Amino acid sequence: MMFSGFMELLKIALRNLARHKVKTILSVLAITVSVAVYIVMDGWIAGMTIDSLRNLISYETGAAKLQTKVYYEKLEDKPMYENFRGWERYAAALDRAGYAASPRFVFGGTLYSNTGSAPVEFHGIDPQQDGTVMRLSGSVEFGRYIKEGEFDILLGAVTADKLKTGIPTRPTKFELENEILPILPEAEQGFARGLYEQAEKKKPGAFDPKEPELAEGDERYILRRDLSPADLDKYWALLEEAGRMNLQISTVIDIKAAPDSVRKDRYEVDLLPAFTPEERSLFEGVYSFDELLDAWLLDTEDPALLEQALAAMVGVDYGGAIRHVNQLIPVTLAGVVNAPNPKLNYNTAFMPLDTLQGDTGMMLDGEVTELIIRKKNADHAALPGATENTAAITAAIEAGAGPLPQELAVEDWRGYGKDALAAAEGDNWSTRIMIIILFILSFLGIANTMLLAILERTREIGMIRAQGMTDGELLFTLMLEAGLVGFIGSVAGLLIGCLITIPMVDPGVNFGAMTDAMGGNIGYRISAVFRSAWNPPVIVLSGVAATVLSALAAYFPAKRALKMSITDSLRFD
Amino acid sequence: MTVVKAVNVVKDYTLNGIGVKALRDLSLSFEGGEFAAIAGPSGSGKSTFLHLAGCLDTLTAGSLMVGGSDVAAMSKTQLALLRRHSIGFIFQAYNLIPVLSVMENVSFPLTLLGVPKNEARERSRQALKDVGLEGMETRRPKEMSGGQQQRVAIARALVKRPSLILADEPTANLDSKISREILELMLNLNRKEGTTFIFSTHDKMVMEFARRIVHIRDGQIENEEVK
Repeated sequence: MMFSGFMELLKIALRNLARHKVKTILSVLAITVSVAVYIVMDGWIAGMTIDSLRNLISYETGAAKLQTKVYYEKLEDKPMYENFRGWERYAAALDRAGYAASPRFVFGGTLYSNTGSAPVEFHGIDPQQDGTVMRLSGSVEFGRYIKEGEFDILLGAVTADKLKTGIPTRPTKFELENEILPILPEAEQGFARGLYEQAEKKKPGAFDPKEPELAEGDERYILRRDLSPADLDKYWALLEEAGRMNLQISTVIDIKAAPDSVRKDRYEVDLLPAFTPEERSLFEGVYSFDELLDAWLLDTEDPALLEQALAAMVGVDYGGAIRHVNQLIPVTLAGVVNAPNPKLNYNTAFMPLDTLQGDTGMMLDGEVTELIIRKKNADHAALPGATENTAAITAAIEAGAGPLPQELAVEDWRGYGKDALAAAEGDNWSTRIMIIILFILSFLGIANTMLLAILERTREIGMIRAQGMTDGELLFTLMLEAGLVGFIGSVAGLLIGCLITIPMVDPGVNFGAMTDAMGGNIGYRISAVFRSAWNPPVIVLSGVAATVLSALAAYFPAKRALKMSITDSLRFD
Repeated sequence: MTVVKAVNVVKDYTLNGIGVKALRDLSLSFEGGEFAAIAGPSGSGKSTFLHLAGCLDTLTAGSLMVGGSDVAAMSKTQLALLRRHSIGFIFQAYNLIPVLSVMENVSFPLTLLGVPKNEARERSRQALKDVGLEGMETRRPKEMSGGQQQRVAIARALVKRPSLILADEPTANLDSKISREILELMLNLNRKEGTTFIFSTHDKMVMEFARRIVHIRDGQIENEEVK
């Protein structure tokens, strides 16, 4: 019967839905909203996650990095002394295996301009090679890319603005007339003045983090949008000539160096409890105790033994094994970076690695902190695949350069992008939980509607059972009725959700003001425009799930009705 | 052939927390083709017996055979199938499905039986003609009078040609003129089709029409008259 009578049951279900129009419409609306919200939110999160991960890989991590194990463990501190040499061998091996690799030396410091200072993470990069793995060179907004051998620096746009270096993009009238124009040759002041136009006045009460309250009589200027590259280059050159691009890096160079002596109390407090028995005997083999000075004195000429002892001391974070050298490096701003990954626009700077090598730089001797790796000609729109994970890249290096030394290891972007992945995962879950609550509320609504509808039709149900419909068939009919509510709601929700998602995929939603207000750090590596992504399995599944769950919402009210005896149902008022 | 055979049937139930002994050791049989009434005052147990005979309820003790089957030994699904194939009901309150048309209400039992749509439509049309409702197929129950609705209920009970029709106070909500018309109609169908009709009633007119009347009181047979 179930099959031959299906259309009849469907007809009864549809007519019953039509009989309770208001209830049906409200239930359908609840499902519609739930499904639409789910599709929109899922697409949004999926889009942000994909964009965020692409930007993480293309601007921060590459597919993977080769670094010392300790450097990776202490990644938060960016310990510049945990560096390594001989990266060229590994880069060559990777090149033969079809990978591009580019070295970096990362260190922290303070960047001083004529007007202020900011803490900055500096990346010494190979200007040519870096472009084979990263997309930095394409993100230079003003000025030019850095050149080998020059004391050039590329700086994130926000920090450049804060330090009042580079081309001022949004000066106030006061800044333009008192700080910018006066430093330029008199003959060029008119040219510079002509590059700006008055910014649109914000509406009263409107919030714009880029627009702090201006003093009485002051006003905001912005660079004209129709400027030619030649105008901008000329303006850059004028400002550079006027000293606006002169910057200075202040940093402390941390160098691992075995101390000449270790005081007895420091040895007993800092080293002895942390040493393994082997490290202790190694130390005592390199240092000998001097009773008179009450200290351990360096007592070996063997460089290998010394290096091992030094590694043991650094390994237990003994401060005495790090020598600190204060360094000031004068640099010239070559360009300003405005990248889709907001982390680059805030407190990040790039310099030619070769410049940092010498004594006027970071006093390096070929050391780098990381070797960034990406498949040659990688598709930057796609996430790295199986050939770009830790195991595959390690194998490629070892195939060409022999086993990696104990202290080195490859870590892929998933390890480096833990925070971005965690942000995406966390948002995924919190959003999903919210939507699941929305779904539950919708289904409680349907269950309630069905409960009332079934209660109202108790006598009818009794009669239908008296006519010989089995309990299973009746249960199916009632679930079909609720499932239809879910189905209609799902179809409407799918349509609305997809219609909302279309403009969110392209052109996307611009959240520039919000990301700026949050200091550029919102966990996601997306600067301004959030783009949704299509997720067809989720779209289909949300519709199916809403239909099935709606049908299930009728289960308990229906079972309750079927528990009543037929005679009681027929007598029910 | 014996259509219903009750032997020492006991039915107890609880109503508002009070135990009620609806039937007490009742033994009663109906043969095929009978046009019989179970009469008695309210609470005598006549409707309870009809519900048991229609497999709508379960007995507390005794045995009950319907269409040759022991209902106590049957599952809920088997009982539903027995009702579907062999028993038609006519209720005092008509109990039509309000969202379906007259034609759809009448053909509903045929749908349950899996009768092809065209055949079901034809048989339903004939059943409606038999009860004098030709031309009213597309109406909804609420667009009809009480008498017309009861005719629809009779047509629905007849359309599947069951061996037994149980009518629980079928004339209680109808005036005497319409009651007579309906009873004449059922009697004609009984004669023509040989369908067994069992009524529960305290309506004198029904008793006039019935060829056998079983009077019950307090769940037991008081007397029985056969015309």
